[in-house]
Amino acid sequence: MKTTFKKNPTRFRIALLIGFSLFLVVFTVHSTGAQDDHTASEEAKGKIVWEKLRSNETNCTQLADGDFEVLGEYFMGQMTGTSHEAMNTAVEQMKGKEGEEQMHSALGKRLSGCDPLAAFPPQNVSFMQAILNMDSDQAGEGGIGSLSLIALVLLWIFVIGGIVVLIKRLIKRSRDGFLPVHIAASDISKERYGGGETNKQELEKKAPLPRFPFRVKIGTKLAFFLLLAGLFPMAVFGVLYIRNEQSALEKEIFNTLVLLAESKELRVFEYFKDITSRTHDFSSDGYIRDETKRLITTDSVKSQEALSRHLSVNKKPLDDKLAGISILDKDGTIIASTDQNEIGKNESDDIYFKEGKESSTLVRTDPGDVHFGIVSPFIVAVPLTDKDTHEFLGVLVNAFDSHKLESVLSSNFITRQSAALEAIVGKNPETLHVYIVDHEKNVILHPIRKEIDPVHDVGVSTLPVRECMEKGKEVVGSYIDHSGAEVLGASMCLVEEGMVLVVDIDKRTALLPVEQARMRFYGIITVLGALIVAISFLIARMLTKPIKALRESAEIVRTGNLHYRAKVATTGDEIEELGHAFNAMTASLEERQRWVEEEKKKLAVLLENLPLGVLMLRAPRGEIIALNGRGAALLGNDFENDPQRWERINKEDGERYPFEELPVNVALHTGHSITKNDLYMEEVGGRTLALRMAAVPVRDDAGTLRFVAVVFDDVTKEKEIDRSKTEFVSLASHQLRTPLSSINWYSEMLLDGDAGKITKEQKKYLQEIYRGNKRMVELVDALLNVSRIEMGTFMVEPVPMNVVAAATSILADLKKVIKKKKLVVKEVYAKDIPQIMADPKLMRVIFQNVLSNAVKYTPEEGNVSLALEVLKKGQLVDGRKVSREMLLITVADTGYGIPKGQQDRVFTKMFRADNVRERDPEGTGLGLYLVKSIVEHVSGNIWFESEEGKGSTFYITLPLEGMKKKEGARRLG
Amino acid sequence: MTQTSHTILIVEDEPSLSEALKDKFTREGFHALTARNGEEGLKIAQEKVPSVILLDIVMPKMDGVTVFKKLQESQDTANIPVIFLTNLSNAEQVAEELGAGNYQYLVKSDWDMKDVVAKVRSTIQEKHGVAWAVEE
Repeated sequence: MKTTFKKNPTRFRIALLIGFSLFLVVFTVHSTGAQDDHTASEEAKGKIVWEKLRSNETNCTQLADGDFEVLGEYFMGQMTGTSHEAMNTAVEQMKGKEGEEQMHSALGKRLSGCDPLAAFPPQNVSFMQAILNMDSDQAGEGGIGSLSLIALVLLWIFVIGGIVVLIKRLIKRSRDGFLPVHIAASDISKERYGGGETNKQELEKKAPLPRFPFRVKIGTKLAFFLLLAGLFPMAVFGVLYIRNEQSALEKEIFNTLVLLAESKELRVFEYFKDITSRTHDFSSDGYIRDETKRLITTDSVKSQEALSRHLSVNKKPLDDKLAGISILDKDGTIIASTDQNEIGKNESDDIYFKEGKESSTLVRTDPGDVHFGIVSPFIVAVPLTDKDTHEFLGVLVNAFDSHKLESVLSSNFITRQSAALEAIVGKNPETLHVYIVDHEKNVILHPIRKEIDPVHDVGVSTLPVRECMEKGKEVVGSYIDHSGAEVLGASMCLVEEGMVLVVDIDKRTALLPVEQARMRFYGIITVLGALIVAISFLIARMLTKPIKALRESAEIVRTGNLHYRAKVATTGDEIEELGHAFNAMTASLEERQRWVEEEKKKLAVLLENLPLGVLMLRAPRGEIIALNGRGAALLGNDFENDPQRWERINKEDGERYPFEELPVNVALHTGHSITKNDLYMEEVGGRTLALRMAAVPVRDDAGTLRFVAVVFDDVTKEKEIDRSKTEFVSLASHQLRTPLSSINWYSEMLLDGDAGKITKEQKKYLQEIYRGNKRMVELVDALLNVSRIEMGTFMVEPVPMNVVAAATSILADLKKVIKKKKLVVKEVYAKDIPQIMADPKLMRVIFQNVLSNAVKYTPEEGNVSLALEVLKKGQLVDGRKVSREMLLITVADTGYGIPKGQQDRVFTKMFRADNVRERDPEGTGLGLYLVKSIVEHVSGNIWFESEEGKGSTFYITLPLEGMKKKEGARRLG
Repeated sequence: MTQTSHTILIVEDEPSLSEALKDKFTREGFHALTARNGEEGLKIAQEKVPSVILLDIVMPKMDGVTVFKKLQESQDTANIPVIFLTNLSNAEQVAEELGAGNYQYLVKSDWDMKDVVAKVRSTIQEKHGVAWAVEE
């Protein structure tokens, strides 16, 4: 299926959305990649070199120094974020062009894998650190930024798309559950003005309107969508950005912490090296060695004093870190010292003596140990040997004030590399801790928090300490410190010394800028959200104000004020169009109403002046809602308000007309139209009024009976005329018959010779008179019947009867003639002919006429046949399909037939065909007219086929269900 | 053949018809009485009590139907067979008015006189069980 955007605007909108989003993605990616200020040509060259290396076109050995330089430039260009900054800082620190080139070259070598051990300028730790860190960062940093942005935009598209689809589904699902507004509206209009059905269907067909599942104001919807489209992506973007920032800052802080830790480690090393070499220096002192040897061998007090003095006067002042110097003999007894109180103590159990015997050892004394008045000093012990024999003499022990190291650690700890850290620490110096933990997990030095030191000499078992002690690993990361606070920290393992150098900073403090940014962001989001909501409601108000006005106008129009026109706000948009459409609709409604009113007026005038009575009643209870002038004149002016009005209607004999049989009640109860003409009413003057009344049900479109229209007329005169007509015929026939009887009887008497014998000739003449008279009598009878039929007043009295018997009895009557003419009569009666309800007299007239015609108009020795059969519904007879079960009477003869040109007049009154008129002048020409009238009167049918000279066939069908009773008239004679 | 002749009463206002019937029935051996209107007919019937009455319907002074009704009121006359001999073809109307009774209905113009005579004879025969010899 092909769908164009024109046909489906929703698809167009979706495509637009996707297109716009793609544009955003491309734009973002592009702009991210284009912010570097490196010289493009250098980078391009580097890229070419890199491509060559990757595709193995060249290898490292073929590259010149310049190649590595551009490679380094290229890598620098590829870097983003922290790595890039760190690198840049490092490069800036390498003052001079040469330094920079060297740096680039080293970077190129390192990152291209050409020389993994590329010689970094050792003098710059931060460069080294940057390049080391970069190994892990380089691949991702820049990529993650743009990738996450793409992901974000895609997420946005999907989320919005998903929500749109969800809402559409919701709308679709709830479509059946709600009463659509436009239907309700059209119902109202229908009730008020009628019609409207087609419009509703058209609307329904044209646009299946979306239906929102719940009632939400436009402002709310707008706010929701704007928040969704504007704030949601911003929020997601913001959160991701802040997370990114946080991790960047963390990384930066880690880098700085590592750098700090390393620089401090160097200082610590220096310090240790310093005190160790100082001690070595003392142990190689010849005077000390000699005097010690002497002291051991002679054990003279003088030597001891001299040695002690030498240590105090000549050695101790050499180093301000020195707290004191002692010399122990082989057994661990202090034999000389800068402190006289020390002499004689045996330290053979102390670790420094044990280890110092073997080699030069740096020992941190037990916590709380006091040597030379110094708490927990560093002690360096070295073996003393004989100058010549190298015989072990004893151990030289230097005790150093550890607080001097603390000042080393605390001094100049803020590196210039990290502006951020500086800023943070500058504000909250107490949150940065640099301390050393010894192998027993005791914090031995803690310069910053010395004053408030609860941790001094308290064992700490934090993550970096454990990692270093147990696995020898250095840690950079976030962890919980000894006080339970979350910190960011870096550790350095001082393996030889069995110590850990830890640098950490309170995480919350360190990430304060991010936190602040986050708070700022939340603030912005909140303000923006509030702004969006406010703007949404403002826009919604702007949108809905004219809509509300329109709705109010609609209410006014609904109450029937069709002259009213809505004031249309010139908003220049669909709402304005809606307003104009509304007014156009109202105008057309007004026009329509005018038209309806006019029609109503016309109709009312017509109805009022109709020469027929018209009465309108409401179903189902039959309240009168209209009665026209003629109606009121006929029924009486008070008819409308008379609760007993229907009791005024009588039957012909003056009895009250049965209520349920009144035409209006028949129509109300059965829903069928009915006409009756046997209603009578006493008029004021005592005259009886005869009424004909037709009641017609009026239904609405749904088929519900709403009204009954009764149309009636005064038929008193008609009835009178009818009666006088009947009387006239009756009297006329009486008057005609009297002289005919006279002629009949006197000619009969003459013929019988009652008046004496008559001659043959006289007899012949008398016979002519007699026969002529008979014909006259027949004619009068026939005319009487015809006039009765034409008045439609003949009676039908059906009784169950045997039609076959009726037919045969007629044939029996005709037997004399049949015999005389030597006719062959064939009778075929089907076996399944039932008794049917029929009027025997009418049946007799039918059979009499068709059979006597056949006999009369068939020449001697001809054939006459009579057949009776039952026709099933749908059966064909002579090419005609019967609509219900019928009795078929077929009378065929081989007689004179009916001339073609006169066939269409066979059933007309007094018609006699030319060919029979010649042969038989006696005949009234009324027989077939009578038959046809009767047959059609009882819902039957008659037709024939005939050919002149060959014969005729007459077909008569009568409904098998029989004739309907018809009263109030006269029988045929 | 010696037999007491039956008396019949002909009530008919039309003189020519009355004459014709009287002549015919007299010739046929009846003792024929005539009346020219209903009142007269009723009077004669009550006085003479004829065997059969031929009664017209449309007559001056009293119509045939009323006469019949009056006849039915008296025991003496109620059993006299009545043959309505009329030119009104409204036998049903008469039947409706009188119900089934001791009467017959003939349309004058449809009947030859000899058939009327035969009808009268058969009616008397039915009533009296007398075999009636036909005179030629």
